[in-house]
Amino acid sequence: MYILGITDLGINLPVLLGQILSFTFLLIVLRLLVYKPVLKMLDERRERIRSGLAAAEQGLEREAEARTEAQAQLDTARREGQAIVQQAQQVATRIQEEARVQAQQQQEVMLERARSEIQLERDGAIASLRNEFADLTIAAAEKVIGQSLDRTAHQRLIERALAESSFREN
Amino acid sequence: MKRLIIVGALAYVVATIALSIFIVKPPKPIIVIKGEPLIEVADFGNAMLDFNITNTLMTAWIVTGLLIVICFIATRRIAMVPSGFYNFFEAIIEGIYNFVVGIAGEQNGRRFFPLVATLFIYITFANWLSLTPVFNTIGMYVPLHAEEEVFHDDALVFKDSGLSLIPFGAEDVELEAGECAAGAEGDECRHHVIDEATAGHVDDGEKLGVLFPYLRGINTDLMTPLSFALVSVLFIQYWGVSTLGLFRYGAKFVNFRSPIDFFVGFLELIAEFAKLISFTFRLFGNMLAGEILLLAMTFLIAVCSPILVVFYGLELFVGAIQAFVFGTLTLVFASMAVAAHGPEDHGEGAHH
Repeated sequence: MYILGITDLGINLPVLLGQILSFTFLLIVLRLLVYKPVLKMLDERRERIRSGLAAAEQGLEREAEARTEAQAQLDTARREGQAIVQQAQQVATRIQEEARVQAQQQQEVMLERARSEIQLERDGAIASLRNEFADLTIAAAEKVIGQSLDRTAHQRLIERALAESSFREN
Repeated sequence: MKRLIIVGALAYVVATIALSIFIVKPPKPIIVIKGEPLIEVADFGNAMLDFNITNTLMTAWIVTGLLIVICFIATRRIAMVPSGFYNFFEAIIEGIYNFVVGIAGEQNGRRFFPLVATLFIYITFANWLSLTPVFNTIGMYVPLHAEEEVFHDDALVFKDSGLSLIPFGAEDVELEAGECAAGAEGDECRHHVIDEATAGHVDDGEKLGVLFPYLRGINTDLMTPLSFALVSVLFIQYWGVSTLGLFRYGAKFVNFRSPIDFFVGFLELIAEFAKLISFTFRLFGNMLAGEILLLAMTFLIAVCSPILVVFYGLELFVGAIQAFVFGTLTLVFASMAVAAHGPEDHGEGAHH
């Protein structure tokens, strides 16, 4: 049997100091090596995630906004396009109509001109034919009668004959 | 199939027990409470002042060194996107941090965190490391001396040379020194007891002595928990004074407003010392009991048995729980110390 005294519990100052120093050393090293950098990293990450989430939220909002705006613009553009096409069609129809009318008019003018030219030609031809015929008739008559007739008297006679004949203008 | 497994497991358990009883029988463990001195540094002739490097102190340094190396390796790859070992390490740190902040609040939590985390990590790591087989087994063989402050009641018969392990089948010898007086007067008597035992049990090439293991669980020596408790209580006082100011914090202990307040202050003062003692003996008692339990169990069943695994599992659990309790109590006491006392701001103090 041996009675335990307080020294048997191992109370010893240098060892106690050694343990305190060892623990304090560990505390300081871990603080510098682990806690400061790791907590800093955790804070940074937390901040980054927070701002990232906020940015994502904002981005989504902005995207939705942009989409509605784009849709609105698209609608306006479509409407405007339709209006322009319609207008263009109207203009085209009008231009076509005008061209048709103008062409018709021109055609008519040209027809008229051609008709009057033909008339003039015909009148000219008739007049020259008549002169020719008068000269021929006179020549023929001279031949037949064998005598020269007074030119003006003859002319009068021929005129009369012609007026009596069915060969007249128009 | 299931039945076969159950029968096999039972047969294994029975076989290990039988093997331990009949074949591999270890000697009775010699339980020593104080740390065994390995290296003598300074001898002042007083047990409280002599500086010997004990096995617990050496283990504490080794554990500290290992922990620093691990932390150094873990924090080399600190990154915004954590990966590998750092990820695991950071998860532990963040877990402790969230726990501390959850109890003490953001502002105080940040101040308390380093101490609480270090206590938790260091004590857990040391306790778990002390469950590895190198602890308490390999050591220094020390022959018995009559002049020691603690005379061992039990000794083992060692081979005079070779590796200092406790061999299977080593003879344990009980020494009848109870009749001898304490101190120097009994030295003659104890010499006589040793000589008698040596003559009776020891053959040629053998000696009577005890094993001082090189590595021993740090918290099984009273000095280690006491050092943690001292640091912890000192930090708590420092936080109290630095937050409230010396006079407001001191008013908690020394108060002349009324006799009742004075008496309450006196009780508070005693409570501070009680904290120191409760911190120390809670950890010390649990860890020493755990060590003795494992030594006793491995003495009863010396081969690898499921029964031993259960006890090792239990000690794994106790080691972490005690560290957690130590850290949490430090945190709670620190939160109480920085909370304002007295009637002028009772509302603020009421949440804690």
